[in-house]
Amino acid sequence: MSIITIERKVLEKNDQVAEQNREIFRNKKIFVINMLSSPGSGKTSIIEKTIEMLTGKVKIAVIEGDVQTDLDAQRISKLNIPVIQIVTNGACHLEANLVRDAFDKIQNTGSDLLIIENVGNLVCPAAYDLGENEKVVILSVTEGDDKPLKYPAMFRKSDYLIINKIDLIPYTNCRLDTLKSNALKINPKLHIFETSCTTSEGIEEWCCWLINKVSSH
Amino acid sequence: MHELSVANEIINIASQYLPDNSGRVKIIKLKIGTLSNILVDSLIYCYEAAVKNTLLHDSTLVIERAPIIINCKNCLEEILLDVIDNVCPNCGSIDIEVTGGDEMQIVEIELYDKPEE
Ligand SMILES: Nc1nc2c(ncn2[C@@H]2O[C@H](COP(=O)(O)OP(=O)(O)OP(=O)(O)O)[C@@H](O)[C@H]2O)c(=O)[nH]1
Ligand SMILES: [Mg+2]
Ligand SMILES: [Zn+2]
Repeated sequence: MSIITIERKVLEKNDQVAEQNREIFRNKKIFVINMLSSPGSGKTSIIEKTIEMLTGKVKIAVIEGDVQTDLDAQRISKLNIPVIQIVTNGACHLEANLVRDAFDKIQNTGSDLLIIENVGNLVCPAAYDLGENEKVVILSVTEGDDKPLKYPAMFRKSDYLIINKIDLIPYTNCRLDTLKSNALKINPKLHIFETSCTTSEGIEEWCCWLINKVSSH
Repeated sequence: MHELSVANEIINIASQYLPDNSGRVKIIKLKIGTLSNILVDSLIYCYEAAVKNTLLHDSTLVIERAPIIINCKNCLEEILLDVIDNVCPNCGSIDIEVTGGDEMQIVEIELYDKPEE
């Protein structure tokens, strides 16, 4: 009987490419965020609001990840921002090599902030490092205040949480303080933003954080 | 939900250990953490589908579950858990750090005995 002990991470290839991406991003001096949430929490809406607010201050490029269609990329390109759509054809998450190939096409746009919108899914993308500087998880109040407890991996792996659609709180049974304490239970280090893309509440604070990160990067 | 991509990565890595044309992989032993969001049954199902028509077609996965490991910043204990309640079971503190439990690792590969010449 012949047994070979190997102890290799199953996703080691993705991790290696993610490290290469990190190096590429560092050389290009671009700050990269990976936005993660379940479908419809408002990732694209927040990106649109962010672009509006940061026009003339930060040069933004966007990579969109979706299972099907380039609808999100169409929304972003209306704002005259370099954008690449990745269509995963069924896969539930983005992988580092897809991001590398997409970034290749926009690497010479002189951008200083790259926003990657991951596939809408609160579980799988947590396992795949893309080479980003920060993971930002978005949760909308209509999803319920128990979600951090039910989908903890994403909240554990991100340092930042955006609670979106706060304009809808009066119409839901979501309690903001419960949501926040549940999220902090999973990850006491989480920094929390509260936003509404309808009223623009909180978008400024979020954008100030981004400007600081980009300029100190 | 990404068990098929995980199965394909396992096949890619294990294929590197095929010694020569006569060597065949019998068992691939994995360690999968409770927090990895991998459904073991689904992974085995996907593996069996993905491995057909490859050199690993008569191999099987043996999966060992790895426990959740927490470090309590308050009582400084390291504790192994099957389920996590986000408080230290020793002292009740919520100041805990999860240090293990999301691993997905290939631990070892067992080859079939070579047929006697
Ligand atoms: N009331 C309200 N609606 C919002 C807010 N943000 C987004 N929406 C709406 O929520 C819906 C989904 O928003 P998207 O920005 O497409 O969400 P997404 O996370 O990008 O969705 P996927 O890419 O499909 O996962 C749209 O109809 C938005 O107009 C908000 O702050 N308040
Ligand atoms: Mg979107
Ligand atoms: Zn303790």
